[in-house]
Amino acid sequence: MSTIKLLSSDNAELAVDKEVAERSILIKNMLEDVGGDMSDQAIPIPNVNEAVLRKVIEWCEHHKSDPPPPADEDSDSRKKSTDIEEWDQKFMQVDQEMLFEIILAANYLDIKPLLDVGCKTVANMIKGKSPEEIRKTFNIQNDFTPEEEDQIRRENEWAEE
Amino acid sequence: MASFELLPAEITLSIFSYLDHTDIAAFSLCSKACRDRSLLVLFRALKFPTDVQILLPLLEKLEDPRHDSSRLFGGGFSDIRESVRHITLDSSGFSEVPDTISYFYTCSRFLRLFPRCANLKIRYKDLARSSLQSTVRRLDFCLFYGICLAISLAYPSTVQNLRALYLETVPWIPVDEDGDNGSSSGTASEPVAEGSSDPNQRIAPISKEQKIALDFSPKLDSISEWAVSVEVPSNPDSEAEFESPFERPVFENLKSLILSTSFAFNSVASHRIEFIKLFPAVEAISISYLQREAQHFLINEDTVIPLLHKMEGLKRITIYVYYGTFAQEMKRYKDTKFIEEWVKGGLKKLEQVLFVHTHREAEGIELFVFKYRDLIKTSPIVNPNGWVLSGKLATNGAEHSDTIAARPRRPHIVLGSFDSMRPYSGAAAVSMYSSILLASFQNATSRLYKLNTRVTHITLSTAPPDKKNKIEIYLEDCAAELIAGTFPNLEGLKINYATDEEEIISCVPNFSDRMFGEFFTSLSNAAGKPLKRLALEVTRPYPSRGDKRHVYHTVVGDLRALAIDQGGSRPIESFATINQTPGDHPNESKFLSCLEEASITAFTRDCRNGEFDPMSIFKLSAGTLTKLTINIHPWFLLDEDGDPDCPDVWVLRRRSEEPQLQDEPTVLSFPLVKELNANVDFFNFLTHHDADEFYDLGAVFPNVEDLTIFWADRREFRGQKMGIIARSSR
Repeated sequence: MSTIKLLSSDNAELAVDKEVAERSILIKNMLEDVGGDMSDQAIPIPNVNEAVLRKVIEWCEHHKSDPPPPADEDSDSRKKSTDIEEWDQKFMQVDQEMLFEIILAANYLDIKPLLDVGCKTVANMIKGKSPEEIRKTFNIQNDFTPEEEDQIRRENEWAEE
Repeated sequence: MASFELLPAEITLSIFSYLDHTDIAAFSLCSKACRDRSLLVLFRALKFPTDVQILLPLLEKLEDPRHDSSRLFGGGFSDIRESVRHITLDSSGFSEVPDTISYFYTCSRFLRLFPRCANLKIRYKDLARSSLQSTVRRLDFCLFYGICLAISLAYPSTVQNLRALYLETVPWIPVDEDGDNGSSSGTASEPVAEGSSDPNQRIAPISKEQKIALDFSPKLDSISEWAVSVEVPSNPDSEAEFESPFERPVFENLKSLILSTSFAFNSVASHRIEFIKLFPAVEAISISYLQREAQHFLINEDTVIPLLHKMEGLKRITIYVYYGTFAQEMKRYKDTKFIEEWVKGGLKKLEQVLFVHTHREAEGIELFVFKYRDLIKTSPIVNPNGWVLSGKLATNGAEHSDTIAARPRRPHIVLGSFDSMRPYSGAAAVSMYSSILLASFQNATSRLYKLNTRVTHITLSTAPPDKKNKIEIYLEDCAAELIAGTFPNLEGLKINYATDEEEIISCVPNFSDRMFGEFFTSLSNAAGKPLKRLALEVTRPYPSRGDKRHVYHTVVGDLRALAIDQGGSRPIESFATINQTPGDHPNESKFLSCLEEASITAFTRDCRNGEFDPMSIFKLSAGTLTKLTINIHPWFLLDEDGDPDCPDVWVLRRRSEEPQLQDEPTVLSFPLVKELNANVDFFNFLTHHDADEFYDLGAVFPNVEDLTIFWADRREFRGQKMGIIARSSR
């Protein structure tokens, strides 16, 4: 199995199986563009630091045998946000900064299943919570006056579900 | 530190896609930034409060020119005004007809505040089914006309923009949730048979003297011309006479009509001419609530079907049926002869008939599709227009499943936003057999249904098709009219070319031009407006063949946003042609003459080896661009020896030339660009490559206010951005 090297934004060089790295569509396309031979040269991943890149590689390692996302993916699955498999749930048990970094990296590297897991995780952190609880969860500063908040509550009644 | 605020908009949208409305509403209350992020999602669809006492004071404020309406909705009212695409008027809570009229009268005045509303849903109580009185049926009919009249006459501009009208009646009597298909007890979606109505729950009798003015349009000189007074006698034997209230078309631009109302079935038949006059341009009609007695609806003279024959512009008919008997009924029409009759009977433009049989228990749908050039040509019929009409019938769920399973992997449609004009973004990606997907979007009982008005951007990805002609078939499956009819608020289209099969390419010789030309044009035409946003994404090489010139003038005359991601492709020769001959053809130069947003992604040196040069493409639109995104790989900027190889549109200066900056006439300038996003390699190249020579970024982008450098950690470069601009402007 061939190995390639990835160069993180903080200049750490990580060796990874080509098959694993190709979970990233960005890398996969890049390798195809250069004819697949990148054995002697590290691919720069300038948006992602070493710690995050290691996490992303860990996820790709675990999911390397997953079939590609089915073309007939059921759209309804988009709405079942709690439906995260156990390993992924544990994988996502990281601090919030790392969680958002993973999401950004998955977006950049074009690893859609990982991006989905990340978005689902964040959605689950919001789901069913009151505004105050959401603020607490994400450390968001409430910059509304009580009057403004009341006004917004009334306005939200205009929005149709 | 990465935080929620730093997530790109498309990721926020993706997160929202997993949340219920109430969760998004709660999120919007967290902070002003959260409010901003959720505003457009929350208020895509509005539902007016039913309390007129709340509506009226607000309406007065909004109609008063002295009142600053921008303060409403936390200062975001102007944004909301622009984002609202769907409005629901719901009077189903009113038990009195005058209350209903008062509500619609007030609401119709509100509509003008939302100029981009394209989708109107009206719900009202089903008067016809609440009573055996035939006169009340007529009242139902006139009430419908009254609503249409108020909206159309009071605010013609609103109606001009209206693309879809959805009428729904709400049954008066609760229905039996446990009923099964075909049983006498009915189902949740089944209208209650008139004979089984509980007299105690019927509408209160309307007094003999009560007169109801059904024209509630405000302040019209011609009010007497349009007003209709209806006297509803309490004696069922005494029929009231009604005059036809309409003399001219009302919804002249309405293309899509969705009827989920007893009106369609009970009242239309006797007023068919008036009905047709209302909607002269309708191309797609969808009908629900076909009742048990509709068993023979296809040939029954008393049903709505013969009426459709008179709507000569109809291209697509979708009928939802909720009864088990339907399948047996359909078998009789397996040979599609009835559709042949329809075509002969006047529906010369008919392209597709879709029957959707909903299985509530299985949460599935059974499709009966009849359309031209269907994949399975069981019994082709040539209609007067020379089209081949053929039918495909799936008589039960199993057969249907087998049919789908036997298909190769399908291309897919991605629904979502590509606002950021970045590749691979998408709020919601859905990959399904496109016909089923679209049917789901049209089916009011499906979970996807509520999304259809929210979809503003669609990505058509050809995915890796594995057989010949699949790309063409895919395009037909995604027939432009179907998509436009299903997604009335469509604004943009992204086309993803993804094929490396020479075999496929060779069988679709003008594939790329088809994409550019016929498809995009027909989609624009179907939408009734030019689509504003187009993105092209190429992930594999493909040859571009055929004559390109003829396509552009019909394609992108009004294009405002363009994104191109060449991936690892060969050059897009089509663009090179334009690039080389700006102005040769008046419409070719128009192609890029009004671009406001542009995004270019190019990764391989091949792009430079071809004639495609993104920098010079932007020459044509330099004067109109306000937002520019450039994402170019270092390879792109270097020649084969690794030396800088800058596009010649950038002016290289020597330090000694600085004083002459203002006199330099050849600088390509983007005077309106306020937002510039570029990868760091691009900036490094332009600003740092030589001590004595530099590219005058300040002259090229003199008015940049918001600069984002990506492809590297944002924080690292944010501090430098002003420095870069300041230095280059000096």
